[in-house]
Amino acid sequence: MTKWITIGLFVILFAFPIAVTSDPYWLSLLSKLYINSMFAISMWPLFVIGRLTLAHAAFYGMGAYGVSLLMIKLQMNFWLAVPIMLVVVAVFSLLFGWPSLRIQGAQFVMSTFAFAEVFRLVYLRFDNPFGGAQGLFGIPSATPIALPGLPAIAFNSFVNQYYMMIIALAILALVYYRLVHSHLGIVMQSIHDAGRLTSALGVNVFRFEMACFTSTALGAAFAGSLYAVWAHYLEPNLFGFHKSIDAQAYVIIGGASNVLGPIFGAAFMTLMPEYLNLAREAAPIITGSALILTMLFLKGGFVTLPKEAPKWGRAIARAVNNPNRAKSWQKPEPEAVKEV
Amino acid sequence: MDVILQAFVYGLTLTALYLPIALGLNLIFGVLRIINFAHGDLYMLGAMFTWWFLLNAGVGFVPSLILGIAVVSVMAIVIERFLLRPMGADILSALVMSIGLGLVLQTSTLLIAGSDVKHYSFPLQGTLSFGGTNLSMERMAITVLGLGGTILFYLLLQSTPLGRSIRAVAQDADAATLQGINPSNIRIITMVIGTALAAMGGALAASIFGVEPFMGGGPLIFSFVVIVMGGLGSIEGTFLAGLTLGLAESFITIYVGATEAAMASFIVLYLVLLLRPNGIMGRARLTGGYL
Repeated sequence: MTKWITIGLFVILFAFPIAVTSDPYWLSLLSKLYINSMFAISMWPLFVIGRLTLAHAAFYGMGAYGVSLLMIKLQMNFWLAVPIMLVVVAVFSLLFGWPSLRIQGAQFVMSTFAFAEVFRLVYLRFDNPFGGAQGLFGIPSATPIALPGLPAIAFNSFVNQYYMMIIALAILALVYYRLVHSHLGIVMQSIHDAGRLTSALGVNVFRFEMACFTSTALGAAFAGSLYAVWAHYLEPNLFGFHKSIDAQAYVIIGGASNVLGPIFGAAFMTLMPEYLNLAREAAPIITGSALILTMLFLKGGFVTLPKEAPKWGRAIARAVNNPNRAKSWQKPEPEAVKEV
Repeated sequence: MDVILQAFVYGLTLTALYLPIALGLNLIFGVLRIINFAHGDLYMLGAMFTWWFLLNAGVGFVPSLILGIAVVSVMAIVIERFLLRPMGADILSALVMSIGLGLVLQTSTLLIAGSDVKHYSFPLQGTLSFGGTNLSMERMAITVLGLGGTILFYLLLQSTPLGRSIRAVAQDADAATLQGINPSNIRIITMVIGTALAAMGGALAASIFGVEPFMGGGPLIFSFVVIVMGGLGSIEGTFLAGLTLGLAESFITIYVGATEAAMASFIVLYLVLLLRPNGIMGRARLTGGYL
């Protein structure tokens, strides 16, 4: 079922510039939505093993700054710069994950928080080469692809950029879908459900956690490198731990039980501030209130709404039939949740 | 010599301002088992309400301070009862909840009060010359008030029946229940005390630095580092780590730079988490992981 919904969604979105509108505003907004979705979906494996992390803004930032600097300073081809940066990020994520993943629970979250903030301060402190507080300007679009026998595909128009982003998202979604629904994914799930039992069965839990951590870091760096060629401008405060909170919020709001969850979450959080016409500084109010409502009423995220809604209906029916029932106010009200 | 003394005094002021916040955060962790990411925003709201009462209520500094702390304490009750308690014993859910709450508090303050820095002044002004350095009366009074509040809090925790109940719940909630203590009530009281300490710190700090919606970030990070260094759940460790870090931050800021000082504190936070996850003086059984 999910598979067909996902495929249908991608087909509709693929036809969007031709069938609906080629207005640059919409194409650019949707491209940003796809970048956020990629960041969100790359967080998925860590949610499957039940880890919360605030470190991935650093990997997102590494991808963005690394690819931009390789393109600006060395005039490197974008399609060559991305794999180089992915290797660098893999090394960093192993170096950070190897000691940190031994820490459990809330302390792990705090250590990842420190990691993300150190990298933000590095971008802020070193004007050369990161541009310091003013940011990094003049990042070119992705380098054109010239295949032999075909006309070259340039990525400086909004339509071509849109297709680049949606194809990248489709590939990334497929990769992570296959990862979570593979043998590896079953082990990841059992680490979440019963870590000690899994380890007693002979699984090296730590190594699986490392694999998860590195795979999420690579996805984040890939999304970051696409962000750089989409925005053409980077500043350190875009990559602080607030960006990590956003990425976690996409998955929490959307739900981690389904490939559509992170995408829904990212879509909601990207489109809602635009719809309400909020300034960039005011957008966190959406993140915050959506997180609170999700945690209170819909713990599994948006994708569990079809399963949860009938339960609320029964709970409300009970409360209406028996108005004196103690604490009936604790039952969720559907009006409050439909906004999520 | 002058610079060293100045750095020392500045570090002491910083410690006195931030120590109540770190203690509050640590107390809340010890009893509620929550890393409260909204703590910095409650600190900011303490300052914001004090400023508002000073401007609109027509009362002096001290009544405004008390009113500000009272309003934030009432908010703490609502937060504990309706937002944190439904999360149960799940550390990560409560953490996500506090992150969401922090974002809402910060952004709604930004939308209502604006992003400009608001100033109010402490009633005591003037400077005191001492051994070649000028010390401002205001800063000295604030240091004394901050440290005084901290010591009062320590006495409350160590030598009153309420303090004993709080420590009992922090050590073992089930055993405390068997002794006739109601852990739910103790959790609310703890949340109020911890938040009131933060609000007091905020209101005092704002008379030096001014009030703005994002002022909670720095103290929150400072508190994280201090309570991790001193040990989650350890009050004595928080004192010691707070003093060390306050002085170190002041010296690094003066001799090297503010960004480097922040970086150093994050690296220290990370290293302590790595090498001594329970802190230098932390007790292992208070910090059990969730596995």
